[in-house]
Amino acid sequence: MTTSSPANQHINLGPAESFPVGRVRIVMAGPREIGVVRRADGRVDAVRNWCPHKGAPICKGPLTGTMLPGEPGTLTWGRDGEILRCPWHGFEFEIATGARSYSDSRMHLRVYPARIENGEIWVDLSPRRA
Amino acid sequence: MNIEAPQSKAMRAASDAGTTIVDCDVHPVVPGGLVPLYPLMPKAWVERFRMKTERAPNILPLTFRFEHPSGSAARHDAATPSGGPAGSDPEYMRKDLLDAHDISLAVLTSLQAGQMGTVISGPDESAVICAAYNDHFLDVWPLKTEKRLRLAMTVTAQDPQAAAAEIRRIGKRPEVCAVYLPLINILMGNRYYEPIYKEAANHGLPILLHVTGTDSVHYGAPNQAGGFPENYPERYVSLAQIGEANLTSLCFSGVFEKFPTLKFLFVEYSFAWAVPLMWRINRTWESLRYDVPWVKRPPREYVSERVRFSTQPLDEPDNPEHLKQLINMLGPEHLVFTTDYPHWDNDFPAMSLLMLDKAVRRQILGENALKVLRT
Repeated sequence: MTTSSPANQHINLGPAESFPVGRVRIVMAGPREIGVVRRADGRVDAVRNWCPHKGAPICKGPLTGTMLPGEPGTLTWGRDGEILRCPWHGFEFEIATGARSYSDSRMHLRVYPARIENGEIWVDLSPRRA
Repeated sequence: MNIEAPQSKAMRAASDAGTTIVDCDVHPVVPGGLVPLYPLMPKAWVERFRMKTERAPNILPLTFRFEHPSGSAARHDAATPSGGPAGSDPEYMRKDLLDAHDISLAVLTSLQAGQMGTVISGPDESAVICAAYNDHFLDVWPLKTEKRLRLAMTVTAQDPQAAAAEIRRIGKRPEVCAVYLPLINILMGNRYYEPIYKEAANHGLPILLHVTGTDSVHYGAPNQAGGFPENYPERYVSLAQIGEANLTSLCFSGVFEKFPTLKFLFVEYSFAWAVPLMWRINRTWESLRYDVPWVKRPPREYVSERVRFSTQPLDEPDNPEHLKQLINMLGPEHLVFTTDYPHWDNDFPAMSLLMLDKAVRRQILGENALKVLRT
């Protein structure tokens, strides 16, 4: 159940407590299927459940870290909980910004501004300003 | 709340209305190792397999080196509602693949059977196991009622006479649309395979090739050129070499003349490589035809008539027009559409080949396959 403010596309997703900390929960926000992550510090990430590569339900992939670029033969793990990896072709995106960190690809995950207000999560589905 | 529906609807809306979509590469799975196949095997073979497997944790050991980086080539999000492996529930496959993507006909190719049919098991074992997998899909899966699902029956490559006998046993069944030949390290132009080609041709069935997972992994399987790859991406990218080597072998061996009606489907080797390869094959034939006089016509003519390549895994140049140009160079009549469901590197119709003209897209999505499969 979501409610929205008629003046804009700010949508109330319900009590913040219903969203587990550090894990993706998939919900409907008006017409959009989105994945929402509540952070321990109170931040909220919200992304469209649609991989811009081939349309996969990307929020069904793991919210994870990744191997940081490094020298041949070395592995360095980092960015735990910041990376959403598509369950189909493995494309990785920063969940906070929607960017592909280590690629020059112009592909971008759709992210929505989201916040906690009075214990409830709100997401803004307004079109992006240029 | 059903969170699947909007996604599927959006994808359907993006697909071409009225287009017949044929998916030439779908992988069904039988969970539980060989145990579910035991009712379909002679008692002595059940005892053989029971003794060999009951204390082993896994009947299909892959090398750790080439395991998929995420732990499985099967999509995590395609696991069945009951938590079974992706591809193991025909009802869910119906909903998640056929209905969701408006697919009119899907070719089931069992990689479990394929791995056994190539080198994981011995020659006699592989014939028994392939037959049991075939019977499982023909009689336990709902192929008699779900006409959108058709089987590429698996034959063992280790015993061509047994493979031919298997085609005679079930090759007339209407649910069978192709013969899946999981290759060993003998090129396809070799006369070794002729009993299989003969029987497939007698039954009007095309030979379907598909990477098996044993390639460059197990002794006796086809090897990639130049040396041993070090990791999954390296091996994955160079798997097309096996397609190249076998197409070249077919072109110069005379197989097309010996079996003038037999057709071949190269699945999951993709196709970009075929463009320069056919240039080179033809150019070489023009110069050196006298060395292979049984190749009576330019090789491109045989290929044009009787070889088809799968679209998946689609190459994705930065400029999609380049792929369109490549398809035009190859000739779109050579391509059949494949999703590779439920594997990670899939291509689904609503998001694939959108740069093509509608008529060409329709040809690749369905029409070409209907001319090569036995339907």
